[in-house]
Amino acid sequence: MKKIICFFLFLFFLLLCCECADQSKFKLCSQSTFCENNREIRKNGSGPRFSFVPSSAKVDENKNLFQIDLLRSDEVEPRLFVEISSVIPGVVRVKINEKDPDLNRYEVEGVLLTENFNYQNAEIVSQNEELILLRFGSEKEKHADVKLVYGSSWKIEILNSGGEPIMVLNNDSLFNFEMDKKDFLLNKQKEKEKEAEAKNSDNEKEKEEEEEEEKNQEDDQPNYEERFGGNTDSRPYGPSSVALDVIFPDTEHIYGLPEHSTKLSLEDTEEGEPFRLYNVDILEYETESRMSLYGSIPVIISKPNNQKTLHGIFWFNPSDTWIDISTQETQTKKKLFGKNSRVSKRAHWMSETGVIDLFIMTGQEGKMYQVFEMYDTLTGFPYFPPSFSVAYHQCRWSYKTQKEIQNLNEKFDEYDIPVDVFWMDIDHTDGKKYFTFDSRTYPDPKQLSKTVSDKGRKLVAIVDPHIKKENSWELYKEAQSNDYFIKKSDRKTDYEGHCWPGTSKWPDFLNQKVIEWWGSRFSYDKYEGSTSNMHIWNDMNEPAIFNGPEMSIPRDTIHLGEIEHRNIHNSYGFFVTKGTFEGLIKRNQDQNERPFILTRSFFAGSQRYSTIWTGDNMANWDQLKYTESMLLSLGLAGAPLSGEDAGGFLNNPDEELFARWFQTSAFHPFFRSHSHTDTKRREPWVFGDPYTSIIRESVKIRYSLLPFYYTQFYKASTKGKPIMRPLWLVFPEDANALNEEVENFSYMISSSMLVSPISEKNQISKDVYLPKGCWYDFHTLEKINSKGATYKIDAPLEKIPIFYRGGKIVPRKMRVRRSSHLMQNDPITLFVFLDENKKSSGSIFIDDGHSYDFKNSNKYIHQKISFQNNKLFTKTLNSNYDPALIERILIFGLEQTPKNIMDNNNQDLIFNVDESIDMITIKKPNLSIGHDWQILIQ
Amino acid sequence: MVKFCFLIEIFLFILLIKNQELTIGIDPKDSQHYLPKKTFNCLDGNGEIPYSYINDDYCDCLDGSDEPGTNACSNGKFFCHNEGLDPKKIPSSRVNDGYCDCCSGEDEYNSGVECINTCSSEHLIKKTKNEKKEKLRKKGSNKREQMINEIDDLFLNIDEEIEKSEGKLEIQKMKKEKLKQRKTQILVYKKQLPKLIENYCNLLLNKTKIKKIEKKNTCLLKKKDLLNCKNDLEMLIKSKFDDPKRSLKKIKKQFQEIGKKKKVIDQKLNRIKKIQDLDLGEHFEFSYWFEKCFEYNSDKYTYKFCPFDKVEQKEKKGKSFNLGKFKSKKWKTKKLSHRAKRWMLFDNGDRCNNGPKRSTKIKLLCGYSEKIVSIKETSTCVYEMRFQSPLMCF
Repeated sequence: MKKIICFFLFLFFLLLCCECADQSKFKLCSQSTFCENNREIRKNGSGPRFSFVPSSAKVDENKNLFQIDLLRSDEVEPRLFVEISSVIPGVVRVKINEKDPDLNRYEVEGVLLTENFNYQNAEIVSQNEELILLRFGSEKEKHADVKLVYGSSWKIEILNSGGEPIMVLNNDSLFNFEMDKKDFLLNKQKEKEKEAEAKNSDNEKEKEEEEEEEKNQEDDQPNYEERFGGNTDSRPYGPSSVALDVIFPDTEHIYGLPEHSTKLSLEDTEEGEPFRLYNVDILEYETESRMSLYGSIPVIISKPNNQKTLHGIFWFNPSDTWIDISTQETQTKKKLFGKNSRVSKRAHWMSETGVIDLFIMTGQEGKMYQVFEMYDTLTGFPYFPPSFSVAYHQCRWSYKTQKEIQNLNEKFDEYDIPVDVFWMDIDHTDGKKYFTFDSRTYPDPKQLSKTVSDKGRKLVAIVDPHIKKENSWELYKEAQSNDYFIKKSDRKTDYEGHCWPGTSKWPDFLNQKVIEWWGSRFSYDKYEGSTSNMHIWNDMNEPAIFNGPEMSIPRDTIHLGEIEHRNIHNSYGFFVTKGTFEGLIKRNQDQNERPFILTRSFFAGSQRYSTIWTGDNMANWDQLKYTESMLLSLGLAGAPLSGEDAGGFLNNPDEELFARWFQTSAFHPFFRSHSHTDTKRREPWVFGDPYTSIIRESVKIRYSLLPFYYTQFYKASTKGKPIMRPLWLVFPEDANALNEEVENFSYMISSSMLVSPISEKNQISKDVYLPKGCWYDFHTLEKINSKGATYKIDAPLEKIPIFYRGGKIVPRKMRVRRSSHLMQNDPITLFVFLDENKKSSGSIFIDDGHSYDFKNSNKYIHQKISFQNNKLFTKTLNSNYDPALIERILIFGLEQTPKNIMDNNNQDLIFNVDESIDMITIKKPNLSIGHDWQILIQ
Repeated sequence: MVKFCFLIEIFLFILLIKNQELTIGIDPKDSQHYLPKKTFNCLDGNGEIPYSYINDDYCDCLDGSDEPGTNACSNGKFFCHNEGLDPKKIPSSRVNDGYCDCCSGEDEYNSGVECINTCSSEHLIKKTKNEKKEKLRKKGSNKREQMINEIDDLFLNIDEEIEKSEGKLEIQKMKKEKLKQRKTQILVYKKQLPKLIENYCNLLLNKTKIKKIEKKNTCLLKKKDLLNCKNDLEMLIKSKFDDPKRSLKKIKKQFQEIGKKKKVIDQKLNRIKKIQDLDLGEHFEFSYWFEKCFEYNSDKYTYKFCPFDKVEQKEKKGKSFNLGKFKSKKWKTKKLSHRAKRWMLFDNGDRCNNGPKRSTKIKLLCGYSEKIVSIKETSTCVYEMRFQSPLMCF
């Protein structure tokens, strides 16, 4: 009877588990020992106090590293030290580590672009009983000042040029550096010594007893195991968490910490869960949640109040990380007028293990984008993917046969909808063995590749990092015989888990040999059926494991060099894309073709190898709404090449949602439709008109804007500027841009266009905030002279509010073809939008769209185009590529009817004027991008 | 003068050539609008432009009609003459894009791509394909005629059949009614019989009583005699006349028989009425599929398609799933022509795990034999089946 009851209870719990949301599979802070402990420290002020040891302060002259020891208040010998340096101008690195560790704390290599920094000159400017003032940079050009304050607890202030702190470390003494296991052993040692002294006995028997006791004590070691969701983490090294509070003085808005589906400005978390960064595979994630998602970038960007600059902090630690955000109000005495209290933000960082390694990026007043360039100098500028990837992508889980894709290749033409890429999800493989094709469903992938490439289109195939355990599979055997898989905590046997193919193993990407091996599998002779026309999608690289703790790999699994997985977790996906990227480069003999890679998991640095998408979203209005802030956040944290599954991966969107989704997705850097296998078909023609026409129009708009977008991709890869930007980034002086609605639900493309998506059902108009200046309606081309106000904009089903910004020139190609490749040689139309001073400017980048020739042999065109004093003129920065003909120039907002328009040869140009929208059209000016010219309007 | 004529000749010749170039991609139907004139009126009536603007690789007309031969207008159409095959119109964006869309290759006159003229070979392929198709159609069509001739009268004379059956049903009802009356009679008779017998016996005994009164032990006799009398009488009745029990039994049997007959007629009537609702085609030809099922074997499953009923999927060794109940067929009898696409829709089948209820779309094709040609799952639990039948050959 008991058994039966037990069985039913079991069933009941089983049911319970199925009923509650996915969330139960993932830890809350209270279920994570170190997070709970560090939060406890904050509540009780019970943490260990550390202070500087002033006598230990020194500057290593060769490397320009400043070092100082940290002493714990209850200890005599300092066990920690702080190292401060400036690795690039304006960037201060603060590192805290153990002085003389028994076991080195792991520091991940390969994430930063380089470990060999050109350290900036470090100098102690002043030193007294209270503080040390440290200066980096040359005398002419001081880059950053750092103030170390002694006190009972150490404190470090990073100062701006005015001497005001822009970030304060350990202001609230939340610094923690757990060395518990070592502490435990040390304490035991001390106790033993004391006992020995007390007894002061030479009796051998007693000695023996002591030895026995010792043994017992060893057995007494506390058990650090942590259980969660039926899994046990052995934690053999005990607690080793690191934590620190960082204050952003006089700052109301801080951003970053992707990936979370929250609003853009980081909200206070004291009341609930902290933001968590721990890469996991989470199905049906919710909006407004601070749970971790697929990727992590531990970067916070702060926007100090009333200043035109941004600062950033990069917490370089790939282990499980939680961040509590809070707001502090402090009274200031300085200001006699206006507010006498100021609002500051505090971030309390808590990581499971590793060292404290911070990069603080200090922006100068007036330079909003400097912080991005600094961050990318550290972790790499975004990669420059081939031009097809800027166009539209069609995906579904799965196009099950080669025929289906061939059919799509026809259907898109039949419905006259452009498309560049067809995607092959997991089912194209032979039994989910990646790097293979199922010969029954994809009998001739090379032929397929040719068929789509005849129309200028491409293929993308999925390659996940779980390797099917199948002894007869050559790839598995190769990895197995070379011992390439991650090990269990016993350090001997391979870790096995469950994923798409069934029992699988995971390559140890921490091993450089594994990265090389993985890359070598992309060579055309090894990856049978692959062609240069096929690019790669890395999914499930958190890594996702169906039966693993938190749907991932156990933390006590072992990488090369006996490194526990917990040390590197958030960077695993990054290393997968690194291997893929290097492999795709090497698969071509000339190593001159640019790869395209899409990844789900990511870390700081991922931007240099891959495009990111926001994972398994759902088809509902709420998710559509939060897509914008998710992508904006990624852009601010250095990953501008991102997008989402247009239409929502899970569940069935109704036709209105689907159409609305396409309208905004067409403006996101990465534009792909994707859907779950259990959902209804939703290729663009499924819903019929008017929806199909709306989708067609959205896609065609994107294609017409490709010259503009491609230029933005290029700029992102050289300057690190986000492509999608919150309004405040472009209009830092406009306080309204920080308004929640404006910040989250309108965005700029570069600084040239404003898009305000419709993300509510049945909404047919929207209040859109337009910062001060001229704006031109994208659809009607009518001008609005905004003083910085909200306008009610019509948004019937066919369109969403989109504006060109006055003062910007946008290059477009109005001859939209079935794929971007076929538009390569088409002529350009310049849209010149004048601002209130009748000025405008823009730029354009052109190259072959697929190779590294632009880099290796300077084969590209980069041209600036400006309008000023009734003159449109160019400045060519580089013109080493085929010029592109300009077929039409449209000038808006001149407010005068020209008598004539002449080129630099004094040739009259044909033009006409549409006075209703103040538009001048210059027909076939016989000019091209790549040559310098000017046009004069009289 | 000769010189002048010559010049004019050359001029006209150039004009002719130029004109040909100028008017590339024009639908012959519209060619009169493109005749050389001073100006050209955009076909939608919105705007007048110089004639030289036609096909000058710049879009002037809103409707794109000034650029029939280039890709300058995003909404233009290019006319492929496709000599030797059917002409067709393609979107302007496909002109000179490096991909041959017209079989003649005339769309790629300036892209550097050399198209092979495939019109005649395509024509041949198309011709043989059409011929084959036509042959099949004819063959199928003959079979269809034959099938139509063989159609059960039942389907042809539905109304009559209904009348007939309803008449039969009426007869049975009347029979039943009669039987009911008789049953009541018998029941009454059965109820009254013992009383009658007793009365009769009493009467009989009373008569003998007088005679026997003088005799001894009368009382005993009386009782015994009455009993004997009753028994004798009952026996007599049973042997000579209708025994009510037996009659009732007989009636019950008759009732059952009527019931059976009625049921058969009812069933038939229901079936006929269902047929009446179904719209089985002009010639009731689809009655062929009525109550019929077709099977198809794939690697894993056996599929069963019962045209006006359901679609089923059976695992080779295991469960079977309903892939949809008959919902509708997507054509109207009168509109049947041999080009129209014909579909049958089945929905509301068994629910999928996490998914929708299974549904199936059947595409009906012309073929000599009746069979399922293929089946595929277009998205999870949404199936598409192709079924061929001579009935689809017109």
